[in-house]
Amino acid sequence: MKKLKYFDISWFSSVDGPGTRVVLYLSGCHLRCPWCHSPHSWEISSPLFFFESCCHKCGICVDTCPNHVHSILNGTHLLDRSNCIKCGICIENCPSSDINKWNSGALGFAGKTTEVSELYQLLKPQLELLKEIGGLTVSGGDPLLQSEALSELLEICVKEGIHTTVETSATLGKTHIQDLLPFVDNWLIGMRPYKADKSEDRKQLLENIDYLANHNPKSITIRTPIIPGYTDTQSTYDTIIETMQNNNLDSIEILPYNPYSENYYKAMGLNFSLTGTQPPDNEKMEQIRSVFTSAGINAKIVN
Amino acid sequence: MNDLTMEKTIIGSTLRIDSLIKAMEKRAWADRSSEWFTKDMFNKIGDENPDKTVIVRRALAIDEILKAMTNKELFNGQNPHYQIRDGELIVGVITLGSLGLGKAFPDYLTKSETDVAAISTKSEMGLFGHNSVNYDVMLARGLNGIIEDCEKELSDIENKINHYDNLFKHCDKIEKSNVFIEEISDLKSNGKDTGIAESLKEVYEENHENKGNRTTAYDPDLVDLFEGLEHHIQNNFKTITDKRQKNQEQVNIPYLKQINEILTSKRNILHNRREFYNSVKISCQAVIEYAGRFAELAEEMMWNETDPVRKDELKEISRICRKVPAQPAHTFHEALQSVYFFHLALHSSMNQLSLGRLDQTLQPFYREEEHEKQQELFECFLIKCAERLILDSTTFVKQDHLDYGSNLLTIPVALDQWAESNEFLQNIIIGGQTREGKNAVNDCTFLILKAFQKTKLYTPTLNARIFNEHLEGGEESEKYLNAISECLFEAKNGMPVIGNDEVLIPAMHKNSGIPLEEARDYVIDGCWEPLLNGSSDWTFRMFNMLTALECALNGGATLSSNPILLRGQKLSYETPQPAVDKNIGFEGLQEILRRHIKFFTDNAALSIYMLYLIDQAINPNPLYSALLKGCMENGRDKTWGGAKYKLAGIIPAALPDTVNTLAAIKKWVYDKKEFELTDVLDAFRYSYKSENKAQQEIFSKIKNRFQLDSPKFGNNDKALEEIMQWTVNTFYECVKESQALAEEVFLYPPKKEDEERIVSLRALAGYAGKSLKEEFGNDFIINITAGMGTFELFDIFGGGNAASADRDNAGDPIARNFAPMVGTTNYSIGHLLSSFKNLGLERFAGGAITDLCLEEYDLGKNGPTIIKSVIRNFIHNNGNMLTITIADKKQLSLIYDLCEKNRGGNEQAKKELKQYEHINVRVGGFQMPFVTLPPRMQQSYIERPMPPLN
Repeated sequence: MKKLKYFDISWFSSVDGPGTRVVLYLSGCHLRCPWCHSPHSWEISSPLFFFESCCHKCGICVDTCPNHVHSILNGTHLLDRSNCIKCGICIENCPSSDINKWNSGALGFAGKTTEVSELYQLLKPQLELLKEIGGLTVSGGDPLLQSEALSELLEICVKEGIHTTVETSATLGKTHIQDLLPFVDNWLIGMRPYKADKSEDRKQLLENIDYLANHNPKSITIRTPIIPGYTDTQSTYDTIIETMQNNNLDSIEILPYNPYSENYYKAMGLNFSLTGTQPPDNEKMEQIRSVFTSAGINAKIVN
Repeated sequence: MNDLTMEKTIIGSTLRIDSLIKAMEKRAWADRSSEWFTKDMFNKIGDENPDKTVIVRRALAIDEILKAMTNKELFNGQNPHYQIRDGELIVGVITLGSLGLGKAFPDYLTKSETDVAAISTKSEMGLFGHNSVNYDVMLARGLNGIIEDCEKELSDIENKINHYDNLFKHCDKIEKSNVFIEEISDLKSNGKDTGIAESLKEVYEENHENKGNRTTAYDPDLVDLFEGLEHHIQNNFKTITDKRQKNQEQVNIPYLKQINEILTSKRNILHNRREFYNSVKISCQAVIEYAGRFAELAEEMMWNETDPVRKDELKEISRICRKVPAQPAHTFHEALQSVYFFHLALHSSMNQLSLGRLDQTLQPFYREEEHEKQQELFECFLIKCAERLILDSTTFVKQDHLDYGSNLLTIPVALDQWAESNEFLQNIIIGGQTREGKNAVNDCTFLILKAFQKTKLYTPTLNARIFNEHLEGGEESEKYLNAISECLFEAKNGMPVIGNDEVLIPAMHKNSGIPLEEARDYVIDGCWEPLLNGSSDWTFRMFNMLTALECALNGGATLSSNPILLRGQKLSYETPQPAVDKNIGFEGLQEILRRHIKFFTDNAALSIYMLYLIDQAINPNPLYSALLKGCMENGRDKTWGGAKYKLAGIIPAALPDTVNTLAAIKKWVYDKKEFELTDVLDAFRYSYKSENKAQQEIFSKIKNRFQLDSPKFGNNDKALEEIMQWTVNTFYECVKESQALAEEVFLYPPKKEDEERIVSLRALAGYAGKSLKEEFGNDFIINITAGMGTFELFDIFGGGNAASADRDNAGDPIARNFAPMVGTTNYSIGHLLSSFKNLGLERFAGGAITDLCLEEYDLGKNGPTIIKSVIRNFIHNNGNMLTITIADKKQLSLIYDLCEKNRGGNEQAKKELKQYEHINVRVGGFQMPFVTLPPRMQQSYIERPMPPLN
């Protein structure tokens, strides 16, 4: 069986598809949306998390790291990420960290590669519990990047009678979608047209929406994050409405900007360009919702 | 206020219920210490009736307290127990008293009994509760029916006693009168009756052969012995009379001594029976008279009432109180009032007993066309059961009425009195299946669920039984699961507690020897003990599995840090120490642990038998025995082996902590060899703290590995599951072995060649009598069941343990019941529930309960749907028992802060606290208003909701 790389699992979500669901977040995304709240899904040279507040400055990582990534100077723990080979030795030896839990201690890897059947076994107890009131949602990153392996997982789910949803930007080639199509009950398609997005991505997205809508328009829900300065413009809404109407899509979910991702960037030594941006308030969200509803679209705010 | 707003803001189904609950809560915030009875309010039953037997004195004491409760003169003419409150439809007032605060009751022991009781750990307060009443018989026949039965039995007993007296006289005359001997000789020679044939016939009892020495009032040898005696007289009367005349001395006549002994012992049994039926009669009559006094009060109030509606209500109350519980009930109202009177009498006389399968009991009285009225009546009934509530914990100390003998068991167990201050051990159980295995859900099941959902009262504890048909069944079953889920979601207090019939019935029937019909009729009582519906007498023993593990790691001693104890406190056998003997591998450690588990199960099983009979001399129970199956039929009190079934649970605490710790030791000491066991034991002993820097470094590493990087129960982890299976299997096997040992010593008559050995073993176990089968008959057996949990005692139990893989410090609380340690679940509810699947919990008839606490925020709007899925999943995973509470961490923190201020005397905080009086939480054995809990328990509760699920 193939392997899947994932960076997180949410066991009890009521906002990612119908009912109450397990959400599996797959690693890897070819986009770099500036507001992305999961930079730890990106394949980068040193995906090592370092949460300074949990560090006891014990120096074990300095002693054990084979490539001298860690150093402690004048009581400050510094990282030279260019040397990191993602071996995980520092995490295994860190007294406060757990290799299996990226956010429980000072050091962590967000990303674990697991064989599909093993991953299914991990998910199974909760999927059994939620079977009749929800199912599995696969999100990311972009799950299309691992569509071959993912199709194996979703096939098991279908056999076990578990409802499946895939959340994707749908900006990768159609074959990825074709891999998954037989095993997906519901698609959550991210549409966030903004000034700087790439035209080829946009083109691919429209092609994929067209393809899926021809298959079953009812299986598609559009999702749009409302990012101040990026996607909160009339032209964004117009583009979305036009696409939806052209494809007989009637359901959209709008999500206010999530400002809590900055600490992930910090812990990974990355720059965050939206520092200080405030999420749109309820009134604003309602206004945007009404833009869609007046176009005859069933719009829902998801917090 | 329009109807919609009204529906949202009132508590209960109607405005009447709303105002009754609010009035109750107002009283509950007051200082209630002046409402307790004091000893000077009672006659001294013990001193005044020294010649009466203890059971009769206890019956008189029940009568005494019920009289005092309706005595207008007491409490300066304001007796709080003799009142009908505005709007009440069910009447009568239970005295204050609880598991934690104790009771107030008339003295009924004599001085010598009180003195001797000093060695028994029992006192007048020692009644155990923890049993369940089946009210069907009382509602069908009324207490008058039971009294009639007593009278019939008494007249039969009187007749038998007269005939025994006749036989005594006969023997006496033989001993004293030569003329009489001659008469006998003549009569015999002429083949005539000597005057005893009728008496011997009248004292005959059926089935005497397997009834046991202490229970049958007949000995078949008597006929032969008398025959032998009279034959001897016939042949030797000349010699006897000559000797007597010549020497004027006592002549030893064969058979006579033996006959006298038998007559004495059998007549004593009849005396016991007479005392028993008399006591039942006195107790039942006391309840009837109590009800009558409430009929008078209602009538008196009726005359003064100006509101015509209330006037009619009082008239009806008065009518009902005159009728029940004396006579059979015919309406829903009569049935409820009848049950309440008896429940009230039990609880006010220190019998904290449960209400049983009330949906089954009440259904014959339910009328669909009167649904709303019946709904309201049931809610009135619940309020009456709950109204002993005391909400201000700063008043607990002065209301502490516990004495040395108020303990739960025959050996004292330290109680968490504060946490138990409002615990009354009253349960109701609904649903499940009938004795025939059919779906038992009925109209009253839904009515009761609705009442709990609406009133949100924390007591009585509601339990709901579920079996496969409810999961697979049609509309009605779906409706049942929905009603349960909605009740859990709305009331948030963990009710109903879920009992899995698919596991508990086989546990009782296949693994504990209870007949299938009885097992299907099981109830939950006390905290969460599964037992039989009004037909079993229950007791239990607990031990701490983590202590057994400490003993295994430390040669039979605890891992104490107290230097004067050297290695630690010695609690079990001295066994090889795996930290010293390096040849002992992990399997070796397990074998040593098995020995210590067996030590504790032996102790439990033997003491269950050894102490079985103490109660009869101090805490007989005639009122309960009136309705307990077996007692009336046998003419024996519950404490004299009268109950049809005797159940005893052996329940270890700290299974999760033990297994978590074993798994960590296996991984890091034996498999990875990263630490020395000696260091690990020191880390436990000294709570992972050391002043020595190098040692502290080791301790910190151990702590990290053990706490963060070792498998923990509740995560569906295979390595952990293996160790849990081993531990659970080992415990179960030890219980079975210990049961066999206890039965060999106490229960079965030894074979001739084995007699000396068994007598010696009995002496060692503190028992000198014959086997209990010989004493109580062939049917006698104590069905020992295995269970797992802590009840509310997780704090107390943990107090004796060193640190462990899931506890930072020595003395920290252990895991609650059979649930994962707080903070150690890394995945989801599904992982927790699937952890039960392969543990064979269908062997554990003593109950293995898991307390699940969900964060309110996580449930969102889908609460009931999620809860229903959790319940289904629990049943599918072969879980045993489950509670689901819903909490809001932030709100609990806020209440905790207010409680701290109130404890510091801040009146404003006390006022603010009142708005949170409805927040009830699960405390291992029961639900409790959060505001009443001890601070440490409050703090730990805040951490209980499952960790971030989103």
